[in-house]
Amino acid sequence: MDSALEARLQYLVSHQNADGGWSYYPGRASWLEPTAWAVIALHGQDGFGQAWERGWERLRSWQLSDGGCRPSAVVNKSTWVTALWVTAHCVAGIRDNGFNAAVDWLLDARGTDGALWRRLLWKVTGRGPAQNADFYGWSWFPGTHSWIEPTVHTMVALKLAARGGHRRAGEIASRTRIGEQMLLDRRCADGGWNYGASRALDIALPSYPECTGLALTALQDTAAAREQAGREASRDLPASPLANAWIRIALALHGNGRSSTAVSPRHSADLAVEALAALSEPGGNVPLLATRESS
Amino acid sequence: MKRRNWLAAGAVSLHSCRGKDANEPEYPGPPRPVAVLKAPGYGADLLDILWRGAQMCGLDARGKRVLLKPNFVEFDPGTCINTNVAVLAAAFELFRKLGAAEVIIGEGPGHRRDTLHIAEQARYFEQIPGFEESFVDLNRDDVSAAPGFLEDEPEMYFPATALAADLIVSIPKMKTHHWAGVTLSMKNLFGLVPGSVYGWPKNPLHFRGIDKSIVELNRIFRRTFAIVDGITGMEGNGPIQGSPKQAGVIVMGANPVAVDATCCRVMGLDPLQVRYLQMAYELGPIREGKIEQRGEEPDSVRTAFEVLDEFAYLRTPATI
Repeated sequence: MDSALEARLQYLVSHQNADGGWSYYPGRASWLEPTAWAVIALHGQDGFGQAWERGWERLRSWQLSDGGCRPSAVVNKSTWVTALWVTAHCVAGIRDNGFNAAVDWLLDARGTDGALWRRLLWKVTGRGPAQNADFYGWSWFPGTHSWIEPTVHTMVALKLAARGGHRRAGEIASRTRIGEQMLLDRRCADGGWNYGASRALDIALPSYPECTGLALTALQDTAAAREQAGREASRDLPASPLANAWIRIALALHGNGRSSTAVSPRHSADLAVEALAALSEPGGNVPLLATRESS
Repeated sequence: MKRRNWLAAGAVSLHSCRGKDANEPEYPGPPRPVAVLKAPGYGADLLDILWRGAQMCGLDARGKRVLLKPNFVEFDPGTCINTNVAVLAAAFELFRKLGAAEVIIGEGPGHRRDTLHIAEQARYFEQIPGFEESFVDLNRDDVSAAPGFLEDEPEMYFPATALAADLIVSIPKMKTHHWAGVTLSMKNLFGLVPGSVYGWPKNPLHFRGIDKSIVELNRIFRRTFAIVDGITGMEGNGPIQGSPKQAGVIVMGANPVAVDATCCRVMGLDPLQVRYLQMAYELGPIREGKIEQRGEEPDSVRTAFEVLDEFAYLRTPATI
C-alpha cells in the first residue's frame, strides 16, 4: 500500500469514535457525512477491515423509516446525506431492502425549482434565476432548491445503483440526465462551477475549485466535462484541502490522476476532508466512484 | 424599462403610499442604549474604542461563556465581505479584559464549505493569537434541537456551542443586502444555523422568508450583544458583490433591533421601512425616541449607502 494512503487511513482509524462513526472534527459526535467517506476510503484496504465493519454498522443505523437517512443521530429528518449512504452501499456491493428504500427516497426527492408553479411564476415575473428552470436536481434539505453539491452526490449514487442493475434503472437514467443538463446549464463563464448558479442579479458568478471538482465527478460521461478536466489538470492544485481533494478525485476519474500527495488540513483536523484526501491518494478508492459504462 | 426596473418602481410607490407612521405596534419596553463611536480606520486603537462603547452600554461579561459571531462568508481580495479581522481581534481582547470566563469565536458560513480556509484567507489565523483553539465551525458542530421556531417547523437544530453560550456577540459588517435591504447584527445570526443539517446555503430559511427567519432567530437567541463593523461597510449589491463604503464607525448595543435601526440611520436608510425591523417590534425599538443614542449622534456620522433599485424606498429624504 502507498505510504501516504496508509498514513491517512491510519489517521482516520485513530480518530474513529467509540460508536464506530466519525465526527467532522475529532472528539465530537459522529455524523453520516464523514462516516460515509471514511467507510468508502477504508473499503477493501488491507488491514482496515475491523474499522470498516464498525463504521459500516454505524452508517446503517442512520436510515429512517421513510427510506432516507438522517445526518446524525440527533436529527430526525432525512436529508441529502442519503446519497452518500447509497454510494457506500454500492461500493460495498450491498443491495438489500434498505438500499432499495434509500434509492426510492432519492428518486422521489427533487429540488423545488423543478415544480411547475415555480417555473411559471419565474417566467411571469421575470424574477427567476438565470438558469433554465426546466432542469432541476436535488436539494440539501427537503422542500428547497437544487444546488450543485447535493445534485452531484445523488447523481453519483444513482448512477452507481443503476450500474449494478436496479429495478428503477429507467427512472434513474431519466433523472440523472436532467441532473446532467442542470449542471451543464449552471456552468460559469470561466468553465467551472459555483455552488449554485452561474449568475445572480445579472452578474456573472465565479467558479470555485471544490464545486468544479464535484461537478466533474458527476459528469464523467460528458465530453464538455472531459475537456474541462483537461484544463483543470494543467493548473496548479488548489490550496484549500477540501478543494484539493475534490479536484484530485475528479482528475483521477477523468484519467488525469496525480501522483503527488493530497494537501492536508493545515489547522484543525477535518476528518471528512481527510477521508476524501485518502480516496484521492494513489491506491485510494476513487475508482469505486467511477460511473462510466466503460469503467 | 426592464421588467426588473418596473418591479422596483412598483415597490417604491407601494412603500411611499404606505407611509412611515402607519399604525403599527410599537416596542412596549423602555428605551434601549446604542453607542456610536467614530473609528477612522482599522489601524486605530480599536480595543480602546470597543472598551468605551462597552462602558457606554453598561456591558457586563464577567464570568460568562461568550461566543463571538463574526460574519465571514467567502473571501474576495477585491472587496470587503467579511468582518475585518482587526475588529474581531479587538473584540476577542475586550471580552477577556471584561472578565469573561471563556471567549469562543464561531461562524457557519452560508456558501462555501471550507470554513477554515476562508478564515485563513481573511487572515484570522494570522492576526488572532490562539484562533485555532478558540474557533468553532458552527456548520459542523454537535447540534441539539430547540423548540418553537416557526409554526411549520416545530423544532430547529442549532450548534451546541451557540445553545450553551451565556452571551452571543454578533459582530457583522455594515452592509446592504440584495434580499433583506440591509444585513447587520440580526441577519448575522443566520450563521448559527448548521449547514450540516440545512445545507450551504441554509435554504430552508429563505423558504420560510428571510425577514421572518431573521426575527425568529433573534427571538430564540435573546442573550446577545452587537458590535457592528462600520469602519468600511459594503453598499449596492451586498452582501457579497457590493462595493466598499467608508463609514468610519463602530455601532454597539445589547438590543439588536435598536442597533440595526441605528445602523440604518448611519447608512442614510429609514429603519421604519426595513421589513424585518418592522416585524421585530416585540424585540426592540426602531423609533428614535425609544433609542438612547450614546457617543455620536447617527446624523452626525451619516454616510449614504447606495442600495439596489428594489430598495430605493429605504432611502431617507436627506439621502434621496
